[in-house]
Amino acid sequence: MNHEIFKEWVQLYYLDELTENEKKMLDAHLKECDECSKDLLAMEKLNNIIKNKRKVNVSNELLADARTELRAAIRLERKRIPLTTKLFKSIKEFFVERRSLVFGSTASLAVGLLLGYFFFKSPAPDIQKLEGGTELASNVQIDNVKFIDSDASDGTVEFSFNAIKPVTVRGNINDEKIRSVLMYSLLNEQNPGVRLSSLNAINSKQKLQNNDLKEALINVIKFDNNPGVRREAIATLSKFSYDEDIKKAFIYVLLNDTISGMRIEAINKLVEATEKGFAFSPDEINLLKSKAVGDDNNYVRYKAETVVKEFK
Amino acid sequence: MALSDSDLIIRAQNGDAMAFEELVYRYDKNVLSIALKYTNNEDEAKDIYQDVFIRVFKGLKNFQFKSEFSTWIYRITTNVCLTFKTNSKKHSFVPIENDKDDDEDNFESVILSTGEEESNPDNIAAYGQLENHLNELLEQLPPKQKLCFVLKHYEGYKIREIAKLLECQDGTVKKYLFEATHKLRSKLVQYT
Repeated sequence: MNHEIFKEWVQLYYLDELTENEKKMLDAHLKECDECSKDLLAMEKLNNIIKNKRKVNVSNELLADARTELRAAIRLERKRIPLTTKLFKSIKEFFVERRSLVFGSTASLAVGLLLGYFFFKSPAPDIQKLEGGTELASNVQIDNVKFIDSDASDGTVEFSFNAIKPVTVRGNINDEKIRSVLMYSLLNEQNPGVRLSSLNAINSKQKLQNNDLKEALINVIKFDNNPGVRREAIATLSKFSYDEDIKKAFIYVLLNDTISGMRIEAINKLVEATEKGFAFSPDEINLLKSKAVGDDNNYVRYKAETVVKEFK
Repeated sequence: MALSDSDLIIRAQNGDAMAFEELVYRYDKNVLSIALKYTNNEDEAKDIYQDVFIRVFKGLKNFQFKSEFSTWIYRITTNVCLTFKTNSKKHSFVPIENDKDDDEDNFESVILSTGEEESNPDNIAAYGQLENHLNELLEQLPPKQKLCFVLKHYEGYKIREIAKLLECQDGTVKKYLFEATHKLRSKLVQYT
């Protein structure tokens, strides 16, 4: 039997991938072959090194941490998915209708957006195979190419990329569909400058009352990673009639935002709410008490104490 | 009597949050274990874990029972691991030429030990150093080689199971494993 096969079997022996019959044949070969015997010894030593790491187990604490964080992320997804899906549906309808749109002549807004179209979109996030004959439109930009396997020694390479098609839209800022595009951009655009421009455009209206927009803004002030965008979202949210959702969002910012300027914005809005006669639950008062004592910022502590005193 | 995966999937697809959680708990320890051994970093492992189950959450409504649910989850896990490696360059890569170590004698004694001396404090320290050394070498492997190595050696998958997850031939997985072994042996030659 070919010596090269036995060399492969030496490795497979330590991978526990040999049948009993193959093991017997290998044993017989090892008695006659010094090279394979040395190989087996080297593999045994390597296996000794590797086996130590096998003992690393997932601790209950790590698993509990991961589950807690996952629960929070899923809660966010549950809220985010319906809004994003709704906005995306609205945008799709908008592009179907766009040829028949009559554009407003005044107070119009031109927005250049890059909307990502994943040409290989599938329900499951599996690795895709590029079939022969698949073509991308000529104006599609390929972006963010990342190699997963650039080693072509086996004849294949693997990489991911974004296929993006540029779309230009002009429409009236009061048009609900234009606002849907802006909200989608606000929630999904990677560039904070574009998110901020979308917010500024939305903010140009004196009074706002769209519930989807309110939900989007609350998402932004809680979870956007750019403080400038979060601050602008607070300003925009202030144009809504004050309600429980908005109050809870400001309390969330007060408790969780690491930027003191953001907490100051939030506490100022809560003080304004108090002055307008809005009440706080006992739990909320306790949270404000904790900020009155423990916040890093003097102003936040002082203002939180003011609100707490108001409700004593 | 515990519900089957299929029952839980159908309930979760209809919006039953408890059913989804039950499904997660059936597989999440294994997912986290793979992620931890792949990244060798608890925070990164949690990132992978979360990414996997968010994808499961988003994709579950389109799951059509064409494969085992477990296969689907672990396939997502392998995809996320492979992408994660290319997205983040958090690990420091030690050039092979500079891969000198002052504790060669310690490594030698560890590798040649019978295992009985493992409780000795000196040997425990040496094992720690050796493990770090091995982790550094694993970091230098291409993602697929590293993932195959982790799944085979640390998680105990059979070659045909890995091939199913990576959607490739058994021979391809063997090739990745042999190449990984060859690289590790060549870099640990003084100890093996």
